[in-house]
Amino acid sequence: MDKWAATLVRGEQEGYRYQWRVLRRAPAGQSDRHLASAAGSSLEFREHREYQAGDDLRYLDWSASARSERLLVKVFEQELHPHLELILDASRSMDLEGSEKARASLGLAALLAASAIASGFSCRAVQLRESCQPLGCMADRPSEWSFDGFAGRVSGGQALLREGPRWRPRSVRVLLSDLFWPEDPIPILTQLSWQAALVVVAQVVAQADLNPTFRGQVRLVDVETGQQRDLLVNDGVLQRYRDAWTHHQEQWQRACRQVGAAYVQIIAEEFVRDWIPRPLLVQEILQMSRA
Amino acid sequence: MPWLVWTTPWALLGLAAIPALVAIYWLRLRYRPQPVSTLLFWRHIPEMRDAGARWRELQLPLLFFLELLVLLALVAAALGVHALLSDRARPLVVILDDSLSMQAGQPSAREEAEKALRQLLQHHSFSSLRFLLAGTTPQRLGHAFREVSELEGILSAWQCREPTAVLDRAIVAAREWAGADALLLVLTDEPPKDDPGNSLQWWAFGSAQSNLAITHAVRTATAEGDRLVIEVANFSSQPQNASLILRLADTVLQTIPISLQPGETQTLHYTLSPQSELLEVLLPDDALLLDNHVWLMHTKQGPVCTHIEVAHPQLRTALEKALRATSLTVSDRAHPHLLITDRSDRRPNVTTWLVEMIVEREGEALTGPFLLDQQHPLCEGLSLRDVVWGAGRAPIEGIPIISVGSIPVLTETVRGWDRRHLRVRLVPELSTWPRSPDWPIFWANVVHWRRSHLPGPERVNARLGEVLRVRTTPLSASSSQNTEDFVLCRLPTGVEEKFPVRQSEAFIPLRHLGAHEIVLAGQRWPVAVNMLHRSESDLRSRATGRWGHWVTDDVMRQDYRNLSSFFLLAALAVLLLHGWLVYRSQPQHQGIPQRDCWKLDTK
Repeated sequence: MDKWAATLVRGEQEGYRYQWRVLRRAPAGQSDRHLASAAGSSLEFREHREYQAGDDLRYLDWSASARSERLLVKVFEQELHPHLELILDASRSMDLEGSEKARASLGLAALLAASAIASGFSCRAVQLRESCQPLGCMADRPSEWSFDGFAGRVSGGQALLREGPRWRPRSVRVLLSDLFWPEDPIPILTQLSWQAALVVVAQVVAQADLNPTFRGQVRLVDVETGQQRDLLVNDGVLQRYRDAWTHHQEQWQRACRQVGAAYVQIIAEEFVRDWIPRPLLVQEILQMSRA
Repeated sequence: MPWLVWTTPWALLGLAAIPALVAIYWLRLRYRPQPVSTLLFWRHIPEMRDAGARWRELQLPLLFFLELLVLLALVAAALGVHALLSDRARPLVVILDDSLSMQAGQPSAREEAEKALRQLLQHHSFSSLRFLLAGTTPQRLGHAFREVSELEGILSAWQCREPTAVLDRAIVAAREWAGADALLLVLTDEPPKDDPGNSLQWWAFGSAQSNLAITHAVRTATAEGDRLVIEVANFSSQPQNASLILRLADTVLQTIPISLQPGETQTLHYTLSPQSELLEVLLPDDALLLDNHVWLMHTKQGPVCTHIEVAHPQLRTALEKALRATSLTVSDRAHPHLLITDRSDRRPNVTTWLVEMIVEREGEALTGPFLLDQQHPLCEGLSLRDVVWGAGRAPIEGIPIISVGSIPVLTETVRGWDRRHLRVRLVPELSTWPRSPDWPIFWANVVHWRRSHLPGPERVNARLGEVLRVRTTPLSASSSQNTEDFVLCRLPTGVEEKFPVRQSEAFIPLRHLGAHEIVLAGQRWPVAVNMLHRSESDLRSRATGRWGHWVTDDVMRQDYRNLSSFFLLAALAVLLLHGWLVYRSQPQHQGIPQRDCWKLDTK
């Protein structure tokens, strides 16, 4: 068993300890249902709300609109099969030498997929390389995925923008990446959150990314592009690095808030210590399984 | 003399600091590779070569070169480098080993020596150059000169054909020739026996090589045929097998397999019918080619023509018997080489030697003591023990050769350049000499001596380096004052050389191997010249190396200037420049806060 397979097995085993908390929002007795967030095809009327651009005109409630002198549409409770779209950034930057970033990313993906399966989700996992490629069949358990390493040489954001797959409407979408993408996050997240029930952006970083420890005259080598940069690294330089890092992180957090996505940061070394996805638990995206 | 010399070569060890300096700079300047997930957050930080760091980057190599200069200057100072003063070059005398062994090997020691000499003259300065050939006797080659262009003519005379090189005598001759200040260079193929001493360098270019050589060869004519004695030596540390070939013209007479142990010498004897004048003996090629080929001429010479005019019957009979016993004489009344007569009035022609038998009627029977001139060729082998010599006491003309007490009984008078007049006094009735063993010995000596003075070369098989004496007839001698009277020697190469005749003799130095031809007054004599020098064939002690020094303490003091102080001052100056540059490179002296000196931002 290679190291990736072992990580997938471990992640899957750990994943069965968790459930997706979004199911708690479903009405009692309908554990396989999920609340739709958009107006649309109905089974059971739930409420009215104001018309928004893009709403289907067929669902306008003309009488209620006449009474309130506002355009109101009917919102129905829709019976849906919950589905998880798991997007794993498989670029080389996710496999930083000397860090647990790769193991944590792949293990977390397996954990999320396993917990989703345990929660009654269907699940589709894709990896971002030069394009979006499936990790396995829909019915596959994470331990059955075929993953051959983090080898992508382009930014995951670029791959997502270029040829992102058609996500299943009303699906839960989780992006696992270090987000070291030069692209503007807004278009990426806008595309990712289109017709999504929930978008979770999990930034997996290594301690070495957060807090570089090297000093002196170094030749920095980008593991993804192979580009090099000769620097004399001292405290001042590291401070500037951290400033740039914070700025980048804030950009993504702002973009997530803007599109309604949840943002969590996973530190790889902390995660693989006990395999507990604390930020996801804190944000109540996952919860411990009752079983 | 070399332009530069140093007194403490161990100071070169100081150069070991250069790799250390390079290592320090390499470690200091190298960029340690550091993989990162992305350069996204580093791209706004200026690189070393940006934002003014280029000057600092360039400055480090400059400092390195300055430090390198300091190191080199310190090493040069410690070496004790001395430079030759421009007006202090000394004369050089080059002693060239002209012996045969210098031709051994491929390339030969001579070629190697010439190459080294040319290199020396390219890089060293001398006030003048002189060359001395070291052969059997030292021989000057031209005059002193300064231009290296004259070297070609000098070196063309260096043929290495001498049977030996007496280098000690050549060194003495060189010192006398060029003076005490001169530097001497010996180019040879063997190491010096002692320390060469001051002002002398001894360069040897030989190598210890295996060599199979013919060290001795004799061809003697006998009644049964030509007897051949050949000595072959194995000068190597390994046993050797080879084939010795005897060849007459182009016909191989015999191929003799020989096998010799290391250092062994074998003597081979053969008897051949005298089918040809020239016989060749060959060995396979090896390190020295010259000693693998021997030419041998047929040695039989013509008889001595004699005529006896002695009236005393017993004496005449004894004379005839003694001459016949030599088997080297024929009777020739008209043109005898040797006339034995009892007449005092005989005046033979210029080619005839006269033996005047003074037959006395009265005298004494002398029993001794006999006084013999042992250096004279006629006394060779004579003892006159128990001989009774009957002789009178009257004085006779000539220089005594044999005397009994104060009475000369055999005298010699030289007539002309080379004609001898011998006088023998004898009372046959009182003498036992004609019946003693000394009688035929004496007459054999007379015949051999006369024969050795017949016209032609003194021998037909000679060694390289010898000087061959060629006798001419007294007739020629009479005109010897004429400078056009000469002996012609035709070399194996076909070149003809002329040698002047002085006092009925010409002397031909033999400097080429092979069959020569001597031509004199229409007569021709073949002469074979061979190497046959055992010491030159033995290459086992040859070696390569250089010994001796030209630059002694005295020479250093007189002719050179010590540059150590100059190098020390140079090192100090470079150090000061280095210190100033380091001082200037400090951040506080560039107007940049030290903490931010590497945080230059291009923004």
